[in-house]
Amino acid sequence: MTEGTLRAAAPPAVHPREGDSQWAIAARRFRRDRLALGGLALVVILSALAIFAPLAAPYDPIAQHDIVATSLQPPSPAHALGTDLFGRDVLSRIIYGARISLTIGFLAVIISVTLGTLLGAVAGYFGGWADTLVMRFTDTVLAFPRLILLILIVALFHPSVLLIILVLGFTQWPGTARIVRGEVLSLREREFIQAARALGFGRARIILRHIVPNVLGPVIVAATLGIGNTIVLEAGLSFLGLGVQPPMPSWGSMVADGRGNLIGAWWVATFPGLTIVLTVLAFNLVGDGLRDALDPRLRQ
Amino acid sequence: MSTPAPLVVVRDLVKHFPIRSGAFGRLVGSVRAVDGVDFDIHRGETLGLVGESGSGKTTTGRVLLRLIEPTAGRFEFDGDDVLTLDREGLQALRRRAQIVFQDPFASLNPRMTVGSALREVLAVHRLARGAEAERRVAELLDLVGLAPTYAGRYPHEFSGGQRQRVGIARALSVEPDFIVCDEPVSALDVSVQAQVLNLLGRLQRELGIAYLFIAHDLSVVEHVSDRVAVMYLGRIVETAPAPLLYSDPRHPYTRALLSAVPLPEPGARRERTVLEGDVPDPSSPPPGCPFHPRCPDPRKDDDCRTTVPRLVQIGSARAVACIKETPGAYLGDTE
Amino acid sequence: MSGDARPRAPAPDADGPAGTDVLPARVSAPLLSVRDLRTYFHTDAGVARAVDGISFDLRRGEILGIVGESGCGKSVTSLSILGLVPDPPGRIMPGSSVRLRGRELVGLPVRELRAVRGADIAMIFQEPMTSLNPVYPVGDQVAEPLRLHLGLSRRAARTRAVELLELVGIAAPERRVSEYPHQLSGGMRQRVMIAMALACEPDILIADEPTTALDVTIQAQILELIAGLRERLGMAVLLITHDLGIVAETCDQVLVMYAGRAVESGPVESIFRMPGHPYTEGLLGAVPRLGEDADRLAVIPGQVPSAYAWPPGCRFAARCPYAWERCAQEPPLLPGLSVPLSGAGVAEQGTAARCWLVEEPERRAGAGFSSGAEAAR
Repeated sequence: MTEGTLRAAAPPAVHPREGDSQWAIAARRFRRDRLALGGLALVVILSALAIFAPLAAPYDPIAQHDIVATSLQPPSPAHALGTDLFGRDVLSRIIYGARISLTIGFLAVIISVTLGTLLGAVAGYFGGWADTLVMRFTDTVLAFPRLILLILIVALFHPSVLLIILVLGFTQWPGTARIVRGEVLSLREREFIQAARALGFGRARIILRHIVPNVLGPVIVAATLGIGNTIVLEAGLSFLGLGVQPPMPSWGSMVADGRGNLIGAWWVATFPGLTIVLTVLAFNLVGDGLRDALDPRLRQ
Repeated sequence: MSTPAPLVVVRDLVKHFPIRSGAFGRLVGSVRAVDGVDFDIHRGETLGLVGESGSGKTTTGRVLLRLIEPTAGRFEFDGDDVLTLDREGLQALRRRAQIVFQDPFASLNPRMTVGSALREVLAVHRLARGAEAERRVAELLDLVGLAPTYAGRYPHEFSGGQRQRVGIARALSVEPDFIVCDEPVSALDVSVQAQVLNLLGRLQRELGIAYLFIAHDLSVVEHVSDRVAVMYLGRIVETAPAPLLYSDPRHPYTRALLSAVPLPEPGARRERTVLEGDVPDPSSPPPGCPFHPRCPDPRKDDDCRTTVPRLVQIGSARAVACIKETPGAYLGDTE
Repeated sequence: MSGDARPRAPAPDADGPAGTDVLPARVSAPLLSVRDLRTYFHTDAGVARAVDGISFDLRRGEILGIVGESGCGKSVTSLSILGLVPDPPGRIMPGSSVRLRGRELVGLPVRELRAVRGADIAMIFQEPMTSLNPVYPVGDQVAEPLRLHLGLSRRAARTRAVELLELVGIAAPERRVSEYPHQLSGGMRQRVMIAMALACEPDILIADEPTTALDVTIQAQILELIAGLRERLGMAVLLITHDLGIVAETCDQVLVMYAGRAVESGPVESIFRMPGHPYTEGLLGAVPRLGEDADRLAVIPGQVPSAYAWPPGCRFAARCPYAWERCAQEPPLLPGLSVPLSGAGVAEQGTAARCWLVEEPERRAGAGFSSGAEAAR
């Protein structure tokens, strides 16, 4: 009988439906969180727009016609969000820009999360010099100012989407690694890991089948929030002209383009800017919702 | 006593945990968790290992399965020296010696169904696959009193007692001869505790498994054990057959421990030896007899402060680590 | 003591039509009087009726043990008395009454409740590790209630803190008073908690599993301390535990809880010798006893039902070896006296059991808890 008094004051545990995995329970909790669902809806819509851009966008994002006639048109039935300096439809450019931002965001985060999880798990599980080695390496990478590093690399080499993804991915993993290492350190002493060792399971099996699935919760949350972070970073890069090169549309460069004419043609910079904000907000809401849904209080 | 060789033989088992300090991890001392422990366990018998926090009983259990590597000592399992086993040998040991843990909540992987967990053990040890594995899983669940349909459930869907049964099923899946039970019922309610204790007893009778039953609850230990060893600060202070330990304890600590246990009998407010002070720090045990600062025995004197008592036989199955007890005093008693 | 002149109206029974929980009369007026306490938790999964109509009295200088297993509601009961149940999701339902010397505590504004906490009723918890603040010396923590409730100056409070540490049996208190919790052992931390609780000389001490996390030799020290304090200060103690041994050795009266309700109450000797309620009987049979050579333990089959859906009728019926149709349909009340198992015919004085066997004792014959069973399904 080891329940502390205050734990006794928590409402009694419910008997979940049969066969419910922890993921299923978390999914149900997530579904009840309206803000999180709203964020998720937004993410889904954006992703759909990005994937089906050619179908969704009303105009070609880079085509230029009679510039004089079409330049800097305010929002109208023909152009829902107006046109930019070169007469290109802002809405279409935003939709195509989503492709860039979301692709970079997702891929960079996948790289960083995978790398971070593996390194963090190794450091946490083996301890000793492996831990020291990995953690000092982590600290070193963390010490690099990411934006400046990005600018450097992009300036040195040709700025391409792939390069940006790689650089962002390989500099974002320390955060995840630290989180994972902490989780693994506490998991390592839990009895079911001791039991796995007592049952003769090898180290690789223990790490991959028993430890990693149990640290995925915080990792998923970190990943989701990381996507938002990456998108902002990429937007910043493009704003500085160092990201995806024109004429490919990118939200950041669109904001830069419209910067000079904020009063006369506010729509050119404002709508891309708003899109950035909404997108990051959406991912953050999803991340928060996931964190609440995976609440460790449930892991009793 | 019994002529066949014991299944488990432990001699001078020692485990010290280093205490490091400073940026370079200098060794500044050590926690002497297990400080020279001897015992035997025969096939099909239960040795109870009892003690309070800091006694080293949990560490002893883990060292026996090499979940923690010992600092020194000898440990034989069925004649084989466990401490020199290579990887293959260790894997073979894992099939014969298993462990059941205290915390039913933490001893199962929350992300795996009970069935998958059991199947995994069978797969790793190449005991069964596919349909054969399914059958074996159902058998195991039935053996511990759970409906086979529970195989598809996740740990959080079970109560503490049921989870403990799953832990027992998992230990049984390799068909061991020996199970270390590390406080298996301490976290359970009284009524559930009784169910699990009865289960462990039945399994022993049916399958002939030997247990090292580690616990701090003396009533439980007496109930399940054939023999009991009492630990204090990393050493065994007394060993005796269970009924004898309780009716005639020879070591002052055993006596104090027994008298401290509250009995569910009102009016049995008997003469109680309440020990003064706290259990001393295992990183700096007192000189001489580790128990002497708290010992209430009237025979205590200066020798106790200087001599470290060894565990000596005082009867054919009884041993005590107290310099005031005469070796061989009870030989010839019927036990 | 106000409002005790006229007879109090009997509280309605929680689960049925008119019927009262009439407790056997004892000599002096109670210090703490709980009537029909109900604490429910309102969650997404439904309403968990953790405490579902419990009534008891606590008298000056008495040690009342509330015993039960996990989920029975004993901890929530103790938290409800001091209004410490987190709200939401917990709520003390209307109709509940907790009277301290006649003054109603349920519904008191928090400010007034705070004045009661620590000063009139004090509480100690199970985990001495986490109950003390690790960043303050223990002396400061003991002094805090003194400064808060009694307005003592810093110096006076420190002096009194040293006295209190000595009172609870801590050696060299002048030195200990400036130490931090991590420098003390578990037993000493629990003593510090008791010192904090005693600081303002409360009339009532609520001890929620105070020794569960401690070693048995330290447990003996702490229990002796609590009993000694009762002798010396005349304090009343509400001792909540799952350990029947502790109840037998330390308590005067005992209340057995199951599924949110009291199922048996009375003097310790009577209840242990001749339990009236089958659950009590089952519990006593399931406990291994030192010195007793029992081959197998008696087992209570099945599990506690869910607090979200208590079964109708008697909540123990599904697990009771004596149950018959009436038990599943009608919830028994807690009146009257229990009948001893031996059938000697003379009812024990002052005990009460919530069971239909009280009215139909002949149904006891021929049934009982079986030994050696392990049924869990």
